[in-house]
Amino acid sequence: MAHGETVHHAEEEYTSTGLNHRKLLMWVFLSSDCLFFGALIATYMVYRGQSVVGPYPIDIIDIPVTTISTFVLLCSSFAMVQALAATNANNQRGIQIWLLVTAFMGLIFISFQAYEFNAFRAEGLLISTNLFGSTFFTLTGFHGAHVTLGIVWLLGLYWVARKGRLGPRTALDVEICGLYWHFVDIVWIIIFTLLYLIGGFDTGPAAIGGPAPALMGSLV
Amino acid sequence: MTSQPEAGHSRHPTFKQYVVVAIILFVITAVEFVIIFPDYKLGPATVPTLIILSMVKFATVIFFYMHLKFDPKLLTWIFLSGLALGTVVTFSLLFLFSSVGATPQPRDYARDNAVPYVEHGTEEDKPSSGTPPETVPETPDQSAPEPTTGDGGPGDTALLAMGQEIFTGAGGCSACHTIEGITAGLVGPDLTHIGTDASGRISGVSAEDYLTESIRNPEAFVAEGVDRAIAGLMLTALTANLSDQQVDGLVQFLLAQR
Repeated sequence: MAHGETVHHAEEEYTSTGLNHRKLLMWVFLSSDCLFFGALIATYMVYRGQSVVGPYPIDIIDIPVTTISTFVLLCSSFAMVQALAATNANNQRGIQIWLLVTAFMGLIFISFQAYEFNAFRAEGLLISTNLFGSTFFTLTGFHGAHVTLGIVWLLGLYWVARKGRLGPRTALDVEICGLYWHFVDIVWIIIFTLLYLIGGFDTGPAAIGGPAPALMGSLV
Repeated sequence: MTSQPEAGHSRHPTFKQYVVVAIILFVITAVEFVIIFPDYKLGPATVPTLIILSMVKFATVIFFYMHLKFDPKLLTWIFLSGLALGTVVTFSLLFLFSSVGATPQPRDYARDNAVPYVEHGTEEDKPSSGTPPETVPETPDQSAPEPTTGDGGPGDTALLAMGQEIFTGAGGCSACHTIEGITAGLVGPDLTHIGTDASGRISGVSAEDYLTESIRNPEAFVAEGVDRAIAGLMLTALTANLSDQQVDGLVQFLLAQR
């Protein structure tokens, strides 16, 4: 954390890239996190349509509900940039309110996810039910874990803000948290498109076409 | 701790710009929803459109909310290189498994072994009408495995013999159902004691009526304990051609299994 006198010198801190190390580190981390989510998304896509028992996506994916939670997450990103703007403007009240609003919307998003997972469980989809369940819960679960971590981070910042320690001089603390939060948002943009808008209509392999399954054929 | 923003080499968008960005993101998301719900409205162009729209959203967030547009280019390159690497890995895997395409392509194993999904054995809320354009109709007809009950009075022996013949022979029932000492099917529910089990499965319905219904319309009621994975396997095609008399014979035969 930046404390008093170090700040002014810090602005002239020399780095070989000319970039602040903390901020650079966050971007490198986010860059590597792309690979992490890329692998999980690839796994989901490779196993798309390969589950041999239901429930299949079309049986349980609820697109309208998830669209609402997607809106909430987008709103939270807007609140996040407002928190940063308030920090730069040294608007103490604004910092606290916007940080809380961001965390709260993240919490709503997570609640939607908890509701969704629970509904899926009630319909018979567990992580061990089929390939769809395994890849879906792994991918969205890790995203949810990212959101949860973000909420903890935001609440931590709120706690610091309440002590009056956030302001223009420590704006980087808020900015880096914001980078992480927006990243979680863009990962969701991709997940929402692939798993819900496009993959949400997937039926089981039997319905997709091709010859009738051998087992059923042998019965007739 | 340095604060790059006040240091002057990066500027942040104004409040107005942030609002505009938020509205753009909202509108795109709403458009995406409208395009696909309740079914695809753009035909084959739907999936590419969705992907392009989400890429626009992605770029909007990283360049404005994450202010890459206003920061030193090095940060953009760092992030984009990771993103590109992740994308290449993803597509490599998809090509490796031949999974590229708007609709999933089930591989042989899935195609040969997949079982249709019947929701808890009943048609509840999900009407199959919400299917997207490219999906082929519904799979044939899945009938729930037959539940069985029996209280039955012993039918006449001729009927009973005919029932057994259908069950073990031409009817094909024995391919799936087990009756101890008679058949050993592994897929369908065990019918060894249905004569006893059948009564009272549905209150107010006699064992006889229950069995008849379960043969004619297997989806009507799926017995408790029947694996959902196999519910729906019993084809009505199997029993559709049976005459009423033949079904009676089957029912009598089943009622005798105590």
